[in-house]
Amino acid sequence: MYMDSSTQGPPVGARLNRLEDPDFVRGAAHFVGDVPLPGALSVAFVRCPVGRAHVRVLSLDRARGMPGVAAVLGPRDLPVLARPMPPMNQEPNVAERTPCPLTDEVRCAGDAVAVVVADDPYRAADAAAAVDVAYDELPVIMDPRQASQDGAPLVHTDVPNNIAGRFGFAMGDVEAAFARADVTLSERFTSSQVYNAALEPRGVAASPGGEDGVTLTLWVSTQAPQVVRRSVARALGLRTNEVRVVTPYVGGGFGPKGRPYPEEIAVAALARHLGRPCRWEATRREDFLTTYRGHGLHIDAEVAAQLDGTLLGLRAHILQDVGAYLLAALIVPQYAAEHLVGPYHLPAADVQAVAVYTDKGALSPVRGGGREQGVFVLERLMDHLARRLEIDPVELRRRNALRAEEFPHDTRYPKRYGGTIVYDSGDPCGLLDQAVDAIDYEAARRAQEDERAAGVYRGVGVSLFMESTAMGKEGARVEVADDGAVTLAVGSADTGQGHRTTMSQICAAELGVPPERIHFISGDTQAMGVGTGTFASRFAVMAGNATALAAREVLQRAVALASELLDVTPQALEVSDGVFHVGTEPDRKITLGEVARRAREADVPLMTTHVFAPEAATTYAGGAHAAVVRVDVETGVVTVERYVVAHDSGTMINPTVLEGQLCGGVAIGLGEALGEMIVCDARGQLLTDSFHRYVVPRAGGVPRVAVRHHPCPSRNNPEGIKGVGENGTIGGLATIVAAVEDALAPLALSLNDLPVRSQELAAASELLRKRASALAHGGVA
Amino acid sequence: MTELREVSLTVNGTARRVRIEPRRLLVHCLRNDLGLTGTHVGCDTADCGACVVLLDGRAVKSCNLLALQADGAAVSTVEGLARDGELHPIQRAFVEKHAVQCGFCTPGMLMLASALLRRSPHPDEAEIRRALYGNLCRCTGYQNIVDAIRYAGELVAETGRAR
Repeated sequence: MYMDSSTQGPPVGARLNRLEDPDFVRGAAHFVGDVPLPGALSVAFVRCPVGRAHVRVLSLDRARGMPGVAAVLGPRDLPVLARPMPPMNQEPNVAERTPCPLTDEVRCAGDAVAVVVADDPYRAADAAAAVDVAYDELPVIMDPRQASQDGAPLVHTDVPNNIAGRFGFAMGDVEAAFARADVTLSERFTSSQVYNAALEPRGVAASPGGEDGVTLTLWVSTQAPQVVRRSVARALGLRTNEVRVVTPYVGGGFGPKGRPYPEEIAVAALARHLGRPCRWEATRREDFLTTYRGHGLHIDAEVAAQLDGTLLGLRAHILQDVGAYLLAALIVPQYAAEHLVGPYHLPAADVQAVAVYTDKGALSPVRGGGREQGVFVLERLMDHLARRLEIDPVELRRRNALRAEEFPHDTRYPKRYGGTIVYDSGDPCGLLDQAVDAIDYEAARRAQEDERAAGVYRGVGVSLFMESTAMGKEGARVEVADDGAVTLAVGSADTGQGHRTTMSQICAAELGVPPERIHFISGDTQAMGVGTGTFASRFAVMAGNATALAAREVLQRAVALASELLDVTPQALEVSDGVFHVGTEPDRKITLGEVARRAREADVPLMTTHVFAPEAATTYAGGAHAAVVRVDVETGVVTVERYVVAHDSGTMINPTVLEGQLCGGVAIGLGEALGEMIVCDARGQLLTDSFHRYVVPRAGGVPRVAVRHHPCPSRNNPEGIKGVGENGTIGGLATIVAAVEDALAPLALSLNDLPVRSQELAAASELLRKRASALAHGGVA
Repeated sequence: MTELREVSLTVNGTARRVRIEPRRLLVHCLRNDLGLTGTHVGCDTADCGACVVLLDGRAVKSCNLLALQADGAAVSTVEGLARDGELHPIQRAFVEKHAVQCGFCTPGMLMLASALLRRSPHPDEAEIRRALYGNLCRCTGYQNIVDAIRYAGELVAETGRAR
């Protein structure tokens, strides 16, 4: 059957303008704070500012007497508020401790001790300020290394040594590798906690009631409505299908909005308790305080190699600070561990990890999800090895990198729950060549000697990596109505990735209708209950395939019925712009809508749901990034002058949308490399609680990102798609630090601690300044 | 009980009158009292720019202005850009250059761009990036926003719509 693409609209691969954008540019897109909820009350939480405390006195009388107040509650006033959130992961041998919506035992700054509901957010804030709390402050447990020692105070009294869980992977003979190595490097790497800094602070609204058996409806700024539904339903003792979670537009997520939060349970419980809709919107300061955080790893790593740079083995120990509660299982250290294997031939590796509780905000994957930490460590080791062996860093990578013909490549690296990590397709050498060419690596190197002599410190850095993308399951429902209107419903939520556009392109390509005519629903558990969430670079892969398969099934049934109705063989049919016609007789036709009507009348509506849940959903994308930076040795300030990305994300649905993801991802990696860090004081109070103090990149600080596409279709899904959302950050972090080290190569720095700060670079550069000064005065350097 | 004050202002060309507490921020007045939810609240420390509107033609951060300070003034928000349903060139430019991802910073960016193009109709990249200093975007890495604003300058010149 022939589909005329010129009238269908662009197929997969087209740079279609985003269909959702007119709503955004008109200011007509509703985020959770914009959803009209007549009669909604405003919720405000009272939060403990220090990291560890017991509530000695909680007095709510003054607050209860304030104008406009509907209720002020402490933990004892509503039982569900004082119960720990239902554990979501329940893995064996992992001590999963979750927060209570309200508590009198504070384990991290931001834990809520009371909640106010009032008729207006200003009055809710007034009443929250009138809640009288007296705390008995306790010493805070901030260092995960100390926290895991015998005798250390416990964050949770029933979790010995504050250890939430451990795991390890090993393959090959690591001992032998190190024994016969010509050279070994042993280094320590650390990263502070980081903040996702989504432009939209978190928010939840809840309303009792709904249709079709739903007794509670929530609107949440979330990446994973199915996760929220499960959490809230379990907490409130409701059946999952009694709770509906609707996702409005979401102003960025980047990981932390993919985990469940105590505020969701609190707002839902309050709505039921008061019989009124309730809405909570975090202030920015509150969002800094309470949104789960990324990074926080301490990694000790060693690499063994031959004189020619051939890698023999790697050993690493990962200490993951999970903060006070475990809401993200051991995903982050796991991704870090898995990405220590890299795009190289690595015959032996032993990686052990331990996750430790401290009195800090809880851990979440943040764009990269831990992969960027593994890549950072491995790539730093590669650069330092190159320095030690006096081999060019690109050349060292070429000598070790896998070649396209070696894929699928079984790393033999055991996965946590069985099997080994197998890279399905890829071309690390090809990617490296692209990046090196795009940055004009040779020219950058040639210029360095003269530049340094003139006191200009410019460096070029490179990173090369494989990237695990996709997991879980995803449902897509395609439905054709009597008028030919197509509805596509998918489970997970959009947080800026253009899902309506990309999924409509796929559906349109299958059905032969223009993408703009497809009615797209996402993030509504009532419309599609099956979805894992928008994270782990999984949506394009999982929902893309589910959509393609569902639409294909619908088309096949439509073709079968149309051929019956037109009394021709299916092969004789052509479809264009929603009309089936017989090629040789253009007047013999039937519309998709008419076919749908006839199907409905025959009690077999033209509708299908496809749940895409393959055994091996994970597929390996790849990247090679390169950057040129300049370091001002007076101030330590780094300017990223040029940045290139060569990526393999398999089949590309919409290259413009994809390039946007890469560019945005690089900006976050840049921020994390050069200054983003969450800082607390000795009492566990958050000091970086505004954009004054937590510095994210601004327009003047992010270079243009040039992209080279180098797709190797996935072997693990029919559409050949690989994820791409995190590629920019995974590469960005490692590449920029590599470039800074290279810029200051005469100092042979090992910038192993994130973020790299200008103060430290300035201090380290003192020697260079002295040399420059001596030269300027005609002296000897 | 705080005395309510009356504020008269023109919003997107229409005269509006509200009675509000003196402490009410302009951004909340626009969003909740006037129902114009296109302007967003991303912080309350004037750091992020999601709340940018025009006040008598100047770009201001409405999270750091009291509604009272807009008394007698003309305020322009994102809802006022399109005319008779037709997108303003700046809006078209953002769509065509893929300058939108999550959309939360977008209204502030559009209003900031509107003010910039009025005073500097053909800004170069450096000028645009400087002008964007007070507006954060976490999704795009800025380059498409920069391209969109420069393209918008060309479109405005073509169509003669400076607004």
